[in-house]
Amino acid sequence: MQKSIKIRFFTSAFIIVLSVYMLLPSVWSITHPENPEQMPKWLPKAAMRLGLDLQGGIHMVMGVDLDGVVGSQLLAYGHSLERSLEKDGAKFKAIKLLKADNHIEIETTNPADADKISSKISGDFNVLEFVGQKDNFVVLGLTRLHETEVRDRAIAQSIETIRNRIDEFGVAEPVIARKGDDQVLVQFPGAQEPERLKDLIGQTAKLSFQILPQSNDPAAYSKIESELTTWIADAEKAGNYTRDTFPRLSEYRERLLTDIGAKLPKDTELAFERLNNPNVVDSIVLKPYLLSTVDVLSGEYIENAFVGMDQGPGGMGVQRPVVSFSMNPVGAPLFSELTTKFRGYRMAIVLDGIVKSAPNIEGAITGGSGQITLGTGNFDQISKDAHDLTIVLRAGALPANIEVLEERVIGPSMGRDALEAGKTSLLLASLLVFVFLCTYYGYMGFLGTISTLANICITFALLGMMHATLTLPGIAGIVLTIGMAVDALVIIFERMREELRAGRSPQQVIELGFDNAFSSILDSNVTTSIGAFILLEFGTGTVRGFALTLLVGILANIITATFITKSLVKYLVRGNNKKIMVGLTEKELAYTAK
Amino acid sequence: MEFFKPGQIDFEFTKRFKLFVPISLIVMLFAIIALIKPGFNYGIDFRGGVEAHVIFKNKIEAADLRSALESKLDNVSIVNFSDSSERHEFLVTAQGDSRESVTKILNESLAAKYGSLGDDTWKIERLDVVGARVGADLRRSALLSMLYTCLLIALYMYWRFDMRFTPGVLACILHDLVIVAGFISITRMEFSTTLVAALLTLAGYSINDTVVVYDRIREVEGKFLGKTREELLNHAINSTISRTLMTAITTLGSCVIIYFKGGPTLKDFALVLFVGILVGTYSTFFVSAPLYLWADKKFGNHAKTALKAGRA
Repeated sequence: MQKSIKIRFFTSAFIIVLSVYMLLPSVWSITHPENPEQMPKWLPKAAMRLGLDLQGGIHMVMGVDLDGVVGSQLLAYGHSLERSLEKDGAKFKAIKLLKADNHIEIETTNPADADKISSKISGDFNVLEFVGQKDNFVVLGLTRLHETEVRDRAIAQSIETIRNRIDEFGVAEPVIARKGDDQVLVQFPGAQEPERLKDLIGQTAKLSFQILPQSNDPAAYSKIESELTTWIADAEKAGNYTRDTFPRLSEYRERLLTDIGAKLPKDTELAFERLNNPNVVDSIVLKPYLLSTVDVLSGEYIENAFVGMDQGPGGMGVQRPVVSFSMNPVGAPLFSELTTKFRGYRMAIVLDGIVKSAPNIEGAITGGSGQITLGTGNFDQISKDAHDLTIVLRAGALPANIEVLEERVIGPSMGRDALEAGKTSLLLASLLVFVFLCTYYGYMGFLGTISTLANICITFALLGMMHATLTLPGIAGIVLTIGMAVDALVIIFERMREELRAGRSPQQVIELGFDNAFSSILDSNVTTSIGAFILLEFGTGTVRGFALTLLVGILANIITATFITKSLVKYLVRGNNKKIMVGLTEKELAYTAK
Repeated sequence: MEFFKPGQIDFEFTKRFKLFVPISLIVMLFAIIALIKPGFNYGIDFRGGVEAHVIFKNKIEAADLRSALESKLDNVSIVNFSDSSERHEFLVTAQGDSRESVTKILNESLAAKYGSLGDDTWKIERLDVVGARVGADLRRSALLSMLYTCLLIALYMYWRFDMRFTPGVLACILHDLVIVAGFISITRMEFSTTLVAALLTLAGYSINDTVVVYDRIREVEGKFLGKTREELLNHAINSTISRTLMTAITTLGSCVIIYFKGGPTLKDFALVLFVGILVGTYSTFFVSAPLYLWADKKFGNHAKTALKAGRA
């Protein structure tokens, strides 16, 4: 008996010492938020990190347009289906994407072609699935299995691309993770230029080189250009909108495409270049372009990109930064082929649907390299834009459009204030609790204080080992855990007082006090942890930090209340009649109600 | 030291049920009405929009700031955050159609009124922007998580105890949550995810003292042969009351500290927990206890319990 008490006591002491050792790195990283990497070598590596609310930083949730990916994948399948059926003598009149339910509608020349399509689907095109058919119209979709695959791949690629871009930009300890089905969570602690980072991540960076049809004949093209301008003006007037009606240029362009799309020549599309308005300072005019959708080279073949200098218009002007790029061995010959074929034409360099420049092809470009000039702004702005563009070009395009759904920016000084507030309230709450325990429950309360301290240490140690993030609500969770720990102690000590009054022996007081309190302590901790657990599932950002610390704190609480406190009390109090009094005086013990 | 001496508090709780049960019901009714109208003052977490903590170098008037923003943004609200005369801090919340435009308009309006960002006359220390779609999703999942929590806790209590105790626990959680939610609604405090955290914590935490009382009932019911259920219940509450009140006091103390020292973001959180713990303590005496009596009559296996035989 005596021996097992001793073993338990020293096991408890060991747990406490171990947890103190394990929590030291977290203490270091919290007290030295500026230079976490200078931590002494003898400390364990696993430390808690400070949440964005405590050190400042950016938190963003991005929605990935997976429907768009599925749609364009479907269209691509539709076109290759068309090519493979051409050999069998079937010809499609049109392929249209039905955006509402992500299907494609193929208009065939005669109803019998539907059979040819369905035989292809059961063969090479088994990723497609037959949805319906009426007369000459066949509706196809992706099979569910393949659609899941496409979605998963797109989101994985998005995360990968975002990570590459951020790595190139050089942000310390970013968090990039999938959230839900179609969202990506991005966090940067302490990042300084939120707008710039946001643009860097949000940019789809889809680069393409598109030929301007008929532009070898200036007269023909300027006719088309003036026609475009008229069509746009008419559509705006008819639909009662302007560029400013839409928050994004892409939405405006999409609206125009639906309105005037039918008037455009076959296999062409509309795009804009942003130009400085020569008449008004700081304002932009949009120059419309008609671009080929067939004579196109994708920017995916770009191997390297860097910032260079350009001599300005005509080689006479002020120097300005440009982005030079070179293509990989696959892309270079294709680029050379395109520029040979369309020598004398103009070729637009299009980034995310916006024409960056549209130079004349003076001669075939065989080396697979070129330049992108950047539109408007002062020198500094263009330099930054050029630098960021090289990053996105090297990191590759995003497979899908990205929309920022949620964005939180916390300045570093606000983070410092929050950290101070958290530390102060944690210290004060602990102090309050310890003073209460020691004065109200005497020596037992003192042991309770030690076990509550052990509880805090174990909580921090476990959180550190999990590399958890400490947020301000997380600190509140720890304060609440202290409250829970005291609850458990109060249950135990009040029970002991009852047993003492019932005239039990010191041994029995301890045994019964702990045993009878156990079930209440367990139940109350379990019910609280149910709430915390659901919160962990529900919560976002800092609130999750609260749920996690509360859960871990409850775990530590169960360990301390049922094992450590008991071992301490048994070993240190034993039969000592004074210490067993649980803070009662003889008079209080003898008190009986009238 | 001892505040609540044994036997000193020997209150016949069961005799007060006639008074307090209707009071609880009326308060709950008021809380439900408050939840319907005016309803929660949803923060940007839940309805989308922008919330910015703006720090100015020089003293400015809240009314000026409001007039600078009001014409450009919807639902502008401005709270003065300055905690000393040297600091000029404001919390600006507003709504707008799309993310980009709200941030842009905010920046432009501030620049137009108070000088451009580079001049250092003002800066945005904290900026939260939430899309409207995210907000709507969150509202649903907050409600669902509330429901799941109640259900799971009730299930657990059913597993640990039995049907004589489950209704009391469930009613206790509902009572506490409804009243606290009503409180949040009436005081017009901004309903944020942090407050959801407070509510979910309360759901688990506020029934702790009920659990202690129920535990005591189970423990001593064998010793109450020949006495009534009411006597058993009064004994169970009175003999654990020191514990009930002491834990409430210490946890309330923690809340007070978080309220005053935990910084502006945790003020509402601490207040909600404070009120919740008060309500939770009350409901131990006057919600879960009467429901135990009711459920015991309904679900208790009286043929087996000697207690009933003693009373008969």
